[in-house]
Amino acid sequence: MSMPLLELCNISRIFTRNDGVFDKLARRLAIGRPLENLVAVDNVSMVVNRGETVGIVGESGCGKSTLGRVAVQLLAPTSGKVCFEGKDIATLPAEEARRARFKLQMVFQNPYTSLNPRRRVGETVIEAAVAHGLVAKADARDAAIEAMGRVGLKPDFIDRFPHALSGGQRQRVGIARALAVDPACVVFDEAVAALDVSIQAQILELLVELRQNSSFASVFISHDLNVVRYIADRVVILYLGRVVETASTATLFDNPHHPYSRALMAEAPQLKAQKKTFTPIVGELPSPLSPPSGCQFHPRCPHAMPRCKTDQPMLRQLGDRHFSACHLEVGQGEEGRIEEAGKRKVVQA
Amino acid sequence: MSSSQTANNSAAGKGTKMSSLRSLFDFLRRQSIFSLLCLAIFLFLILAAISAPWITPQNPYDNAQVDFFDANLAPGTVSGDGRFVYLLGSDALGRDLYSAILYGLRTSLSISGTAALLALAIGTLAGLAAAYFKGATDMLIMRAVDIKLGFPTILVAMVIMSIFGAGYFNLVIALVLAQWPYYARTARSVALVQIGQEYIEAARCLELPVHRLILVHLLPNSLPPLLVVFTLQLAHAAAIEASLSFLGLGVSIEAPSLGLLIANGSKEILSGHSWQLIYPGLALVLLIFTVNIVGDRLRRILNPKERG
Repeated sequence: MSMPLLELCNISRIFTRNDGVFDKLARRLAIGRPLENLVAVDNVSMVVNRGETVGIVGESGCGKSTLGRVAVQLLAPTSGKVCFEGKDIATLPAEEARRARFKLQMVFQNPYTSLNPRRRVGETVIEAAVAHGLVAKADARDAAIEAMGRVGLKPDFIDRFPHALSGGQRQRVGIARALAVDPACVVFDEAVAALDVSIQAQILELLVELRQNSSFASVFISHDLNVVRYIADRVVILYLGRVVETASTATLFDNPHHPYSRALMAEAPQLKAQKKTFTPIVGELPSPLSPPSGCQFHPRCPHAMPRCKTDQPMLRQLGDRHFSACHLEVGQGEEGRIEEAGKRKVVQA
Repeated sequence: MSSSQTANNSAAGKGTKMSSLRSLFDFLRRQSIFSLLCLAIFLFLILAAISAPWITPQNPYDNAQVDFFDANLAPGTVSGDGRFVYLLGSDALGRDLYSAILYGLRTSLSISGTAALLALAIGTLAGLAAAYFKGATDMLIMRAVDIKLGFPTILVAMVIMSIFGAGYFNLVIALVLAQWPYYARTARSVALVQIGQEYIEAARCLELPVHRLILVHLLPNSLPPLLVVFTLQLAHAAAIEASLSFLGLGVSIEAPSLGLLIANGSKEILSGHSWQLIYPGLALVLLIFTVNIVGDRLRRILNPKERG
């Protein structure tokens, strides 16, 4: 297998409360509040190959965005390393590290805050390319128009300010900005979550089209399974900062193994099934400040066994590039799913 | 002002001379009469201060031109040698008050303007640096700000003036030292909000150089509240300068400012020469008031959401 483009190795990111001098002093004297650590991302490894789209799925607060920001080096990992083309970015000399980071770009969630309100669209799109010498200053305007054309923005938007644009148009500007510097990998952090459904579809189509025409790899972070299913080649499912299951999109959606994945799939809205009932996953997402012991999903899992409370399940390979972190054997718990479906029918009747 | 003018140009589309003039006219027509009036008065005061030597009948600080026998003349009196009329009267030393006010305005405006601009530049950069670099830089800058803010502005200015002595540049330095913390604190708090926004993350992601990130992205978006602080502080600087001069700690006696005129006038008020206090005071009030109104208007104009 060739070298992966981007590799995250055992990434953890812990957020600590930012204590002042007095809190620190008080803790020294053993009268202060204890330190609280929030483990946003816990020992996650993943690989992005050239030209591939990896989807990251999970509930809000499961560390999706933190993982994305670590991947593009906006946040430093507490432990673990990010390798770009096989080299650990943290150990590269400053200039090389900068070049590597420059190849990793991000499209942000909120189109209303991700554009500088005081800069015209053209400036926003082409600024970095000019600053890094990819485009000569004299050609900046033409290059901006070309970059905007790639994302379906008309040239006359070039002198507009972001406030004169709609959410979808702004998101196109954000995409054009990321692509204008010829990135190797783009992280889309909930890139369509803030948009209307019809605009979402347009942006998704644009992304699919862009991916067909260009070679960049992408990481697509979303809480929306249908969106990820549409766009991703491979899917990683996160729960409370840990990977619970990862597989190619087809495998995962046809044959999910982890009970959490199954629960997510079962509850995703579908047009065909005309589902009228909705059974949410039991319970709430536990506080990441005090995560459950063992398998973090066990308080909500319909198949929880005694050992789930004590042993943290490791990722096990189930098939070709299909990994799952669950103690259940393949096929085990399937009958539960059928039973539940049966119950649901009774309720409907 | 330049950024509001570029906005006008862009509104007109093509940047030809004719259309930019017309768009400037259109732009002015959209403003309220009151703010336009204040702008006019403010500009008039600046213009009058600059052209004082050419539009006043005497240089009030050239003893050769001042006639001591014309002391305490009421407004409208013709001078002893019959060369000109004391429009606003004369003071206890026989100086023409109209000339003295314009010369005083010149001193006051240049000192407070220079000081406010310098304090704006220094304070803003310090505040932005504190917000962006965090950690020790932040700690150092903001504790310096806190220490300064622990003392009353006028006290700090007085201490500095008594150490360095009276004089034009010492006054500017005293005002800058007294005022930069207000800008630093505002700049830091505004910048902290901006840094949390995703466009700053995007700029970091695009590996833009730090100076570009701070000056091109952070600064323009942090500027509107700072402009409001600037106008307040400009007016405040004029007031402090007047107070210091009033207390005898301002500029030297040879080049007096509005504050010194007010100080002199206040000694004469019980003698019934009220014009010696009223007219310099009125000039100071007019200056401070119009600066505030113009600044408030500027703030709204500079907000891109209120542009067309």
